[in-house]
Amino acid sequence: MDSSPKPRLLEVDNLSVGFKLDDGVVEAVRDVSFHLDRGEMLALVGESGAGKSVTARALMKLLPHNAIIGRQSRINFAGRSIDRLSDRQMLALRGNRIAMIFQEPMSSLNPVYRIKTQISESLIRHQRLTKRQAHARALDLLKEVRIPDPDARLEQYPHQLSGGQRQRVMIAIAIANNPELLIADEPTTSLDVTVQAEILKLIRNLQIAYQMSVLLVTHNLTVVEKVSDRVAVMRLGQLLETNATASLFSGPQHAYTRKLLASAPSGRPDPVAPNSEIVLTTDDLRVEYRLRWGGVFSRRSRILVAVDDVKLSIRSGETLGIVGESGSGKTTLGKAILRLIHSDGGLIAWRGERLDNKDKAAMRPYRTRIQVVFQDPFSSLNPRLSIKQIIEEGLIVNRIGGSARERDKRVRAALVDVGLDPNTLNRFPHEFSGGQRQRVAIARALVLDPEFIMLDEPTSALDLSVQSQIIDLLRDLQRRRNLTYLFISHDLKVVRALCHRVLVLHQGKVVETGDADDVIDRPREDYTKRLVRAALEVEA
Amino acid sequence: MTVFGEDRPPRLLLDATLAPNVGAARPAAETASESQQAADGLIADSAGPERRAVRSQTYLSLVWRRFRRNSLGMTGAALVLAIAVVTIFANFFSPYDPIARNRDLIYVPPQALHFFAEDGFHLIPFTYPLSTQIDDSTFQVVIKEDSTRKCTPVFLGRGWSYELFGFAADRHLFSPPAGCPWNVVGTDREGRDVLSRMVVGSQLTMAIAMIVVALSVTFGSLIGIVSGYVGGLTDHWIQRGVEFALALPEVPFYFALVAIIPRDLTPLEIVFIVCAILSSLRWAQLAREVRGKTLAISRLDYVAAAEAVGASRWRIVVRHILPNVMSHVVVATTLMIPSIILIESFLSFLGIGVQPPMISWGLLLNAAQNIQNLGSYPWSLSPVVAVLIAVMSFNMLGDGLRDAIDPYQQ
Repeated sequence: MDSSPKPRLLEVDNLSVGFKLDDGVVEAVRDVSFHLDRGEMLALVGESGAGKSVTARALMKLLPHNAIIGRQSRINFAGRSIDRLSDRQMLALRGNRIAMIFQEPMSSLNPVYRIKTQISESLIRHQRLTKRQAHARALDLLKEVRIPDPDARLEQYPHQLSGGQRQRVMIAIAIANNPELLIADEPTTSLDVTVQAEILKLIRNLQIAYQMSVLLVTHNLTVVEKVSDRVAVMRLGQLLETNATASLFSGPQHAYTRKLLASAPSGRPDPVAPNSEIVLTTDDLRVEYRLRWGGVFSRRSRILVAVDDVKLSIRSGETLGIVGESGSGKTTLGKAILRLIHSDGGLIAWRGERLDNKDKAAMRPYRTRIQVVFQDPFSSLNPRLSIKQIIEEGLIVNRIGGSARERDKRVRAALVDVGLDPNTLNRFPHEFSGGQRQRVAIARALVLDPEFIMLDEPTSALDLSVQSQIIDLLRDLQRRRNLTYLFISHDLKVVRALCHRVLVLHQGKVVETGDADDVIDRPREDYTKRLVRAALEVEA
Repeated sequence: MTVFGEDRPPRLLLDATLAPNVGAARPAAETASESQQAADGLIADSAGPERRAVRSQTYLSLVWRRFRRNSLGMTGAALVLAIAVVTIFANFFSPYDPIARNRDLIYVPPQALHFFAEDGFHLIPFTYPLSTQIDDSTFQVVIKEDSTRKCTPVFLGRGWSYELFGFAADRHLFSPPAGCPWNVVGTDREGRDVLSRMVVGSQLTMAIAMIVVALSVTFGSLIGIVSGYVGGLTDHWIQRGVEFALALPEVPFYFALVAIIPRDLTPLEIVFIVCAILSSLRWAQLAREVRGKTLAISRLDYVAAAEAVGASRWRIVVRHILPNVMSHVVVATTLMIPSIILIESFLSFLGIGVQPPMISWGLLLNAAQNIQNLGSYPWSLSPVVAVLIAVMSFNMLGDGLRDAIDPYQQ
């Protein structure tokens, strides 16, 4: 790749970035060097904390005030050194020749301005267009990013657009001034799988059409394989390996890259004993929310059906996956089954006993047998309690393990079960990484010795390598304890690795249900087909 | 926790790795835990058993870490501590009996403190007695120091007797000699030492502030938590009540209430009624803030997780919501104290708060009400300085606490 005849657009040499914190400097990026040719897409891949975003932001000079850029760092853009530019000179470059897309389309658009104002802002500033010209150009751009009904969108506000549409608007703003370099910082992470694929395809097409160079920052390896020309792998602030995409995937040089590639969720769950009994069923389970709006005199309300007559059954030792896009009612269904929220009709039965008509107090005896692990390990652990207090709570409230010594033994056993050092039990959640926190959350469920655990996207907030560890752990626990799982996820790869059966949910309704392999390999319904295609075979 | 005290090995180098990250954003914390494992495994989160012995940082130690670095907050904390000491041991710090009148020393201007005399440096500051003369030609009052006599107080000497925690005492930090005045901030119209009155007056001012804050904070946070956690109709009606309390015009409302206090009550009873009146409106703002905080926390997954293990409502409130709301309440408390001090001063200044013979800062300022007094005896305004210092130091402490109290976010 060194003998590439293409002109270099961007050259980064020995980039180091540190953050000055209260007591010392933390190095986020160390001696990172890479280059980007014109019309090329380079993917910067790494797990959280690898320094990818910091690298991308350093190019744009968008780092916070406490950032220190190393002395040896050199950044050349289009044959010119930009690392020593003043903020003023940088302004002329930013949004004009270098553009950026951020991860959160929700927060990167200003909610009080119309879409046309937001797009034309940089046109008016950089290209000195009149307002009318800018609006006309904004319409062209919206057409170019293929937003449905672009004329109407111009007059709308960000909240009237979906997440994918907002990201399209962000892209329109980014390409408005025909930038030479587009930096996309996790552009698809917060979007649904089906939307992710479309956005990536759009970026790839625009790159070719505009002859742009793209620096794609992501943690998602699938995305990279289908889209980028070259891949750079980062870990702990260092660049480990750069290679053309095909050769990197076929022959990774660095041990970490190999491990990263191998860590995509794999394997299948152990088969369920054929004679195992059904433990949990729901019949026509329904959850509704009444939405109210309008003024005092024009009060209107509408009933939103979040879960629409869902019927399911789970056998002992089985994992039932619930799959769907965000807003499809997966989590609501899970919470309703656990009676953590209300339900409006339908039947929930646990080993033949009805749960749906039980109140909070009457549910308490069942709580030890039916447990839950939530998606976000950062909000699911009370920051003020130590690990021991967190895990022990269920034992105390259910009066399990009479003495403190006995409880302590159980807490330690649970920590060992989830692969954590039992000596960590006096520490607090903030001292742990995301994956470790998720293990603590699993230990909290396990300590009660449950038969059934609802897993609400337990891996989606975690890095890929950690994800596969958690999946292995869950599979292992299921084998050892004959646990039954209800596994909620949007990630079909994880679902395939863990679930025996799958239930596809769309707008609260069951679209398709069946054995995991059947549904994923031979989907019957259109919606499922779309989901599978987006998740497993992102195409550019 | 002490059960495992013995098997916890001494701090290791991990402490150093962790240190820069405390209080830093989430990704930085992840970086640290990854770098800890850099040695033993390629992939982050290997969670091996070799990771032990990290000294645990409790919540309070984290808060202290961050608070310590805030110099303004630390200044505030030191000043608040000093005010607390002076208030508790007020009688010890006041050289004169605050209610003892002295007909010979009416409106004595502040006497300058001296450390040097002809015979060199004196560790204990002394004053010279003052004499006032009228200039023959201009008829101006001229104050002259009589430098032939030195009034040196006795350090930790005996003076007027008082009670301290039920014990009779008569020691003072500086005990001035009899017949030789040592009025550092001057005297008032009855010849009482202003410094002593200010020092002793702090007791009542602070007591009122503490009582009012204690009442408002207790009711405010209780009502707020109930409103936020129970929700529904309860929340709706409590919030209408809060809105009502917030809509009442504060100062006229106090005036009206204070005006209907029967005049035949003892001054002490009046103080308690004033406290009750002040608290009657102050709880509302806090109740609203606490409700918002409670609403946010009760939507978090750890509350749902506690519910899922079968914890009762009461346990969830006490164990999960209260500790996380408390940080906010502590800050609100520190910031509420200065506003109560100001209101008390204001009401007493107008003569409708604390009544003599009780002493508070506001009451002392009452003496500076007319312009003639103020022109002739400007030192009667000196309690303003005390109010200023107290209000500023509590505000600085409160601001510092607010920045430090949420160490998990930045």
